[in-house]
Amino acid sequence: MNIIVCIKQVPDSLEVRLKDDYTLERDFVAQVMNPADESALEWALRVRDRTGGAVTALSMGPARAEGMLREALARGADQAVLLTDPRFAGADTLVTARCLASAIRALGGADLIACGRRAADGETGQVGPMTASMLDIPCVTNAMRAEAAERLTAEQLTEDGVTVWTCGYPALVTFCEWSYRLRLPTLAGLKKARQAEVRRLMPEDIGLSAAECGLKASPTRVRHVEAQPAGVRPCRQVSAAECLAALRERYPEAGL
Amino acid sequence: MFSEKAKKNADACRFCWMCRHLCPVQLVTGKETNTPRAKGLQVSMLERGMTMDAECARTMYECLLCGACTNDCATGFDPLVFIREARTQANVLDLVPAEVRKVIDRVLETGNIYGAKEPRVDLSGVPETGDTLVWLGECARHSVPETAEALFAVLRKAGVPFAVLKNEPGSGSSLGDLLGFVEDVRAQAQRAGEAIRRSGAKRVIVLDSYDAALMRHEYKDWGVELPEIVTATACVDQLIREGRLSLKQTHEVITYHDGSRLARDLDEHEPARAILKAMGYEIHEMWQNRRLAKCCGSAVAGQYMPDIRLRVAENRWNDVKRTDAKHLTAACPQSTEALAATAPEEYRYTDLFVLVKEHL
Repeated sequence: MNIIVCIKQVPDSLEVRLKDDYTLERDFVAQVMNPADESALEWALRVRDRTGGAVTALSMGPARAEGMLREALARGADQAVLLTDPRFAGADTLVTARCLASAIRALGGADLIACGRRAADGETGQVGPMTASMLDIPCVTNAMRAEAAERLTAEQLTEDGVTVWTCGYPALVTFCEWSYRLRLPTLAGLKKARQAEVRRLMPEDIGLSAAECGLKASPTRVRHVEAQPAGVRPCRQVSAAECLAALRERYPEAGL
Repeated sequence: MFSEKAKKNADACRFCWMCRHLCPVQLVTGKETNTPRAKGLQVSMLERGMTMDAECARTMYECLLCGACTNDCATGFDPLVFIREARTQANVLDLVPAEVRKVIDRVLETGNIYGAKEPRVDLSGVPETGDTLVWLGECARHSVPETAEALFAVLRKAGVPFAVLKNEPGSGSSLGDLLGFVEDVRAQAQRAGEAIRRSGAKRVIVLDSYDAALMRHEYKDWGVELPEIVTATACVDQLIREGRLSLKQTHEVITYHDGSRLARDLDEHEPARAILKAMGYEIHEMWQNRRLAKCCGSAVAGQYMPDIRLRVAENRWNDVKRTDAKHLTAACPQSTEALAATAPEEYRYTDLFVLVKEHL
């Protein structure tokens, strides 16, 4: 089973400054692997350990993201690929998904693609499903658990409970942060990671032009960002009777 | 290869050098390389292309990981993060000093730093399963068994049934200090978690604060689920407050050494003091107490740098001499191992649980 895991660096802090274009100022805070992507990586490693094959860690980001990819190698990934070029910078979710899908195709595809369900910084949860859509493969989001046997079975967390999905391969699964806890690096893995090559790809390596990458190609524009005053929510004080009426209206099936 | 978190912590050093006043190792060696500041500088240079050599690796091991520097760092950063990772690097590069390597091999072979096969604690008649498990830790099991046996006596007197694992595995605490937090350490923690699970315990009373700190702070992140973890001091304090222990009274003056992991990692200062007060002791504090406590030397450091550990413990006794107390106590077996062996003439050391047993 050949698995590609898409991983992203996110700031290891709740206080991150924004640049003038409302992208994150990442230089002043340590970057760590996105927690949900850790979960995806651990699942991929378990599948690989059981069924054989290889796990490729794929990321798009600045050169410093190579450190995170080496960490993935130290924890058990077989190879690492970094999409890094100034032309990739500032991509929104659509363009990020386009770049990842193009890279996955350029790498020869995969039986499984594992992603985190959302990034701790942007929290859109869009990149995984959009990548699957662009690759025209099935996608299960918010997976709590998944099993790769003859077919893929994944338990999806929904607002009302759990839905179990099955599908064939290839497929893309996005995992919750807490689904699988990523193993620590081994000493042997750290030795390997020191020597391993992290393959770097540029737009032309994945069949994209500069016009299809980065901020310029991104239809999303953040026009304004406003901080919500801490501890203040737009709440309205209501009486118990008003509250009950609102609950009855919202949840008629509850029989309140 | 350091994590970004380690790099940020190393690069954050403002070179104020205030940590030289805090580091218990630097205070007895006088070597600048023994300050967290110097270690941070070396990690910064390693990240900028300097090659780690044997001397740099040795420097990273001349540290007790006691957290005094972290507790009072002027920039609010945590040198322990990069010191642990530097130790991992030393292992990856086969640069670990030979005396440290021997201790690592002993832990990997036997689960403890002493290389002991059988515990010195008398476990006859103690069950291995039950609602309450007492987790002793390697130091109490193999080096200072009187601390464990005293705790047993206190629990029996209070009518607390308990179990103890005859083949208690390593917790990962020593290995984590020696290798950094790598998968081998998590594997040891998982074996410990599995052994606790098999005991059927709903509550674990942990005697060694090094183990308690690791269990409380790292196990969950490593996917090791545990029942309720209680330090032995908090447990005995609770028994006293519930009126389940009747203690003989004294009016003696005593001073209490806060073990570094108990005081800083677990942020626990008062239960031990409450226990002493319940026996009538008048506590005369050392200047560096509670979160500011000066480490007296860990058991693992005692195995690979016994001379430095001896001087660190003696230096803690110097703090005792600055009070008018002639009697010192502490609540962690690792403190007992270090301090009992170095008591100056006219001074006396008694482990806290041994003290409680004497007052039953």
